[in-house]
Amino acid sequence: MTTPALSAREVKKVYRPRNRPEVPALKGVSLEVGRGERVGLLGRNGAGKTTFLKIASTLLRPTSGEITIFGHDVMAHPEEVRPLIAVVPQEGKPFFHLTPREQVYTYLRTRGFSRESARTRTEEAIEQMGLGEVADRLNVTLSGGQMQRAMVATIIATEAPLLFLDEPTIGMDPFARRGVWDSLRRLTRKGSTILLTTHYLDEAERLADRVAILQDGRIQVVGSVRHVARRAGVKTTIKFTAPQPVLAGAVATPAGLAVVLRGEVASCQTDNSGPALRELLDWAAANGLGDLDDLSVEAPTLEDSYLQLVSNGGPQ
Amino acid sequence: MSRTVSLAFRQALLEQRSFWRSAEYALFTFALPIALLLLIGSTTATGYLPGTRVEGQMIFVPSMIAFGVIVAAYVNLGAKLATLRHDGVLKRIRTTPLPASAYLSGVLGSTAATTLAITASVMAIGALAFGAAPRIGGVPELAVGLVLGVLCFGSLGLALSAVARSAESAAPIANASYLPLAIMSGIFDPTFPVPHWLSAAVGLFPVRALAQILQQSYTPVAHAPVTDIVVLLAWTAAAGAVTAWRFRWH
Ligand SMILES: Nc1ncnc2c1ncn2[C@@H]1O[C@H](COP(=O)(O)OP(=O)(O)O)[C@@H](O)[C@H]1O
Ligand SMILES: [Mg+2]
Repeated sequence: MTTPALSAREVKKVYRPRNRPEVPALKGVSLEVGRGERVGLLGRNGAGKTTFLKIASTLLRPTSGEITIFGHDVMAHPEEVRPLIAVVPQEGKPFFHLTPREQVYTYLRTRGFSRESARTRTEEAIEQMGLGEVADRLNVTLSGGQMQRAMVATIIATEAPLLFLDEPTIGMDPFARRGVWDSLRRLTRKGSTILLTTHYLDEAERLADRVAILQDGRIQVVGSVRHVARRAGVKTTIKFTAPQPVLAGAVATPAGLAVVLRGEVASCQTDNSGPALRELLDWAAANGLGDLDDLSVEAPTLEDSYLQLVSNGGPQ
Repeated sequence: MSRTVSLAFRQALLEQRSFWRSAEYALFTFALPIALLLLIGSTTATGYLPGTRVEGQMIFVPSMIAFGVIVAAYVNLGAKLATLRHDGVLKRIRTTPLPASAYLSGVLGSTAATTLAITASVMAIGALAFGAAPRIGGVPELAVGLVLGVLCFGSLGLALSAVARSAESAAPIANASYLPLAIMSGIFDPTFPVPHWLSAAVGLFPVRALAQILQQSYTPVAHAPVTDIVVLLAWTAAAGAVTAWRFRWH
């Protein structure tokens, strides 16, 4: 049995700001991330995602609980953990008076890469993050999205065994985001493990093998996007353009499918799209309605499931 | 060990590169002591100090060296680290294998280099404009003063960044803590009148201590600066302890 990349058990964190009420940010987070996995940590603002990543990346001590990285205890031996991880912190800024190229290179040198390998990796990362044109400008002159790309380039260049990325693609254009996804996929193919937070659910959906939803200080659901959708109980939606006889009221909609009409769009929701479709098409054939126009089946997105799962938490 | 030293050295080079690239930051770090040297020096600091055979510029120029050390090592370093923390740069460094000691020594090393450059300019201008140069026999005091001064005020800068709760507050705290002491210590005007008890109290702080050691290197005004050295060492130790206890990376 190989040790997982990350294993957290009942991690709790209570912030105790001076003269202010305590904030129980994490109330017992348990999570295991296997080697080579890409896991997305989701949750509303203030859910504790950043707190968890800070604890896992040796920055913050938890109030209680246990957390190991490749079997090394994060609290007891941070110096053993640090060479194994690389972190894009939330809203981290690059060194303003270095260029992206220098920033990536010096970071790699600091981590102990040889000149030669630091240089090669730097060029690769600059290229992958599409920073070629701005690679020799001072970071302070870059746009927000470009700075963020420089931050991500710095981290992916390390090819560290475990990468933590806290909202890595914030402020990036769609091309840059895809660049990040490609790079992260490439890294996991080479054996790295990734734990990232994001509010872009399409990002989690496309990138993460599993997602974990953090709410009320605990992980409420963890699993594949499909698993999460099932847990959320969000139904699949079937839509079609209502044929004239249906609009005119001459033909009733099938009794087993609660079809709703909005203008000329008919829609119904189901847990099980196969039988529902068959029933719909049989009904159409039986009533001589022909092929239903614009027939579509919309599987629930992660966003639908997510909204369903966390909506009972209320605004925070 | 040697790896830590080489990492610290590399960090110091990196910091220096950033410092000189930020032209206005570098310019005004130099401009403050030099402008005060020229402005105050040309109006008041020449001629004998009342009741003595000590020329004013022999006290004032080394006082401005002390002032330059304090601004670069205490005010600027403290404010800079507080800003780096606020910008999330420190936490990124903290999660790397770079040992904390290597990073902080590198930052201090870079501060020392900057301070030396400022000292050299103040000394050169002091010599050219006011004919004030250190005495030949004063080199040990000069060296001791600069080394202890950078260590003491650099550590105080680290401690300042550790206790400042926000990036904005670091500079006001720095100014409020050293400027009154500098005035009471006669940094800007050696004849500034202070009551005896206040003078004794000011003597416990490192500002006058540093100024006096450096003054010794220009003109032997008083006793050997043993007390002043003890004061600087004591503040270095206290600042080191506060830093170790309170320094935060995020
Ligand atoms: N230093 C701190 N002191 C007090 N409370 C904090 C501190 N940092 C975060 N919190 C609180 O802890 C909770 C979790 O914050 P965070 O981990 O940043 O959430 P997320 O990253 O999911 O948005 C929030 O309620 C936040 O206000
Ligand atoms: Mg966050």
